[in-house]
Amino acid sequence: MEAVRSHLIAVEVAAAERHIEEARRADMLIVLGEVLNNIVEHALSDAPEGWIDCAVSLVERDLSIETCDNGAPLPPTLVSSAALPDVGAEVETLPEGGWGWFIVHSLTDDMTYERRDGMNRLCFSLKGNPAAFPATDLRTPRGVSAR
Amino acid sequence: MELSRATYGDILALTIEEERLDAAAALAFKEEMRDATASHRGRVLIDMGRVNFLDSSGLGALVAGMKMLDGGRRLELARCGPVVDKVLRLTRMDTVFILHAERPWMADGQDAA
Repeated sequence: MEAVRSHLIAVEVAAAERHIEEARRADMLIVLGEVLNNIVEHALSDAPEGWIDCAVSLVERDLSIETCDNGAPLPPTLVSSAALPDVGAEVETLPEGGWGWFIVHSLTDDMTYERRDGMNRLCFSLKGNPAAFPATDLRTPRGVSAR
Repeated sequence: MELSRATYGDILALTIEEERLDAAAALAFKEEMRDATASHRGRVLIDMGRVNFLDSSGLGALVAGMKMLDGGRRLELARCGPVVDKVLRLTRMDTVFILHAERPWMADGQDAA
């Protein structure tokens, strides 16, 4: 999780250098944080040799994200949609988690998931209608180690 | 996770002295919260002014922190930045915490020193 944090900080710096507007940068970091932490906490929880490869690309107006990891498969139902956990009436019954995938789906489009050769590959693009950016490849540092 | 403490009347004010309340910080935050709120019976407010990133684990830690307050007290959050605000609104948890744009003791014109 420390590795995810430092990766997000690096992506944030890279995005700022490419003049991606602040609100869009924030959405990207929120989504990336949820996706990467999910991989670390679920897919790679029993994987001592776990790795995540993460690429963010900015092509014309589309910010797209691709992650690849060698962890356990993603439950297929999470790829299409995720529900918001119930907000209980009482403090005692409030959820303490379960928002991650709901947040991801709220901020992204076109999610595709592929399981091949013992690896997960997840692709999606960020929602929104950003101002025109110059086409540029925003490759982030490759190979975030899981631990 | 550094959580500084001050009291203003019956408000226990906890300031997160870090920029991120994320999965890496969640556990330490909960421990600090438990320690800080154990003997306080009044309002508890967290100054989020320095926090520029919150993820679902951090949000879970805030909820866990609220559950540590007995008597059904609601946790109050002040000065949430754009990312914190967005995560709270997306998850509808903005209806669960009591939110303040400013620190209430500042708004009351009291000396915060």
